[in-house]
Formats: sequence, C-alpha cells, structure tokens
Amino acid sequence: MGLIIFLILGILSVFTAIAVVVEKRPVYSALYFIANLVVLSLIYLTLHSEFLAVVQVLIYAGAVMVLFLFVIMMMPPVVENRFGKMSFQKFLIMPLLLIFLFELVYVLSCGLYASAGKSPSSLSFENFGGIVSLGQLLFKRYLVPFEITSLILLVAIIGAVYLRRSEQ
Amino acid sequence: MIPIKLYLVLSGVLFVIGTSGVLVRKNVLVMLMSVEIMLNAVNLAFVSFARYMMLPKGQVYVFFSITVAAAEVIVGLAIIISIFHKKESMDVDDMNVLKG
Repeated sequence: MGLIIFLILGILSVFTAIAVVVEKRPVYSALYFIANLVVLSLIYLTLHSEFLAVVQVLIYAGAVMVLFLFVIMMMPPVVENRFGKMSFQKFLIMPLLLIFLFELVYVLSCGLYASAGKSPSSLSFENFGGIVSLGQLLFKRYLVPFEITSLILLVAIIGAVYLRRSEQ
Repeated sequence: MIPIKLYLVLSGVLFVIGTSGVLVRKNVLVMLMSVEIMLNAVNLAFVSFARYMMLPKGQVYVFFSITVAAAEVIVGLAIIISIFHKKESMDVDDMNVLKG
C-alpha cells in the first residue's frame, strides 16, 4: 500500500518537474512547480516528516512561488520557442545528461548504505518528524546556526532593496 | 517500509531534471525554478536519510536549506528585474556584458 502511494507520488513529481522544464510559458512552469512542491510535501509525509511538509507548502508554495508569480506578472508575456535555437552545444548536453542520470541512479541504488536503517536510536517512532523534536534541536543544539539564518535573510532583504534602488 | 533506494533514485532523477532545465532553457526565470528543483531533490535525499537513520538533524539541515533557498530567490529575482530593465529581455543569451 505504501509502495503504491509512493510510486504514484514519485511519478507525479517527475512528471510535474519535466513539465516545468518543457513548458513554453513561464506562468505555466511556475504553476507546475507549485504542483511539484505539493507532491514533494506529500512525499515528506510518507517519510513521517510532518513539520517539513507544512514548511514546504507554507514557505515554498506560499511565499517563494508567489514572489515568482509577481515577477512573471511584471514581465511582458513571452512565449519562447521551446529551447531557443538549438546550438550544437545543446545537442551535446543530451547524451551527457543521460550519462549523468544513469550514473546517479546506478550509484544511488547499488546499496552501500544497506545497513543504515538498523542503527539504534533513542527516538521513538512517533515523535520523529514532529514539531517537538525538531524545535528542541533547533533551539538547543543548533541555536547559533538558527540565529545566523536570520542574518542571511536580513542580508538578502537589504541586497534586494539595494539592487532595485541603486538604479533610480 | 519503502526501501530508501527508491527515495534516493527519485531524488537523483529530480536532480537530473533540474540540471537539464538549467542547461537547456533560455528563460532566466525558468532556470531559477530549475535550480529550485535541484535544491528540492537534495532536500528529499536529506529527509529520507534522516528518516532511515532516525536522526532528526537531517530535517534541521533541510530547514536551513529552505531558508537559504528563499534568500537566494529574493536576490536572484532582484537581479533578474534589474537586468530586465536594462536589456528588455529575459533571454540568457542577451546577458553578455561580461563576454563570458
């Protein structure tokens, strides 16, 4: 049962990701990307990472993609022909990407980490991905990185404002 | 329990799709979205390893990577808008000031 759900979700996520790349109009790409994010958050749910699933939908689909859609709205509508002019480099990319795909799938499925699941753990199965275990880690052990994260966001905001204001 | 290999293979496939988007497309916005797909693929690998080793640290790393991705999108979109106001184009081939 779990396997069937995973297969459906996996096929959906691959399909939506391909649609993002192949779609001609940027708005449609953005919408497919939102669908991809929602499917990924469902995959996180099958991995019992409930809090991350919520964060994925809230931050990515809610905040980041809305920003993308705003920028797309500000641009004039473009329908590019799909990959532009295909230069010879772009034909060269395809076999290289196939080799890359084969390599990744082979390496990831050859099973060097087969014993990983057996490692003993003090955590119980239920409170693994919940907000309690994650919050305790974030605010005790990873407190300094967590504060630095806020600094990164501040720098990003200042950078964006500066980039837009410096031209006027 | 679903074997971890399936999750890792899915994450690898998503990563390759994102790479192809960055390499093949010419629209800057779609390239940025493809970068996000690659980030999400790596996040998926993190979450699946965290699950199978029962270490919630992996999820903390995903949390940080989502934050950094959000910051990256903010700065990237600001740069894209600035370039668009100069060049009136979203095509990466028109962004050749550095003659790279």
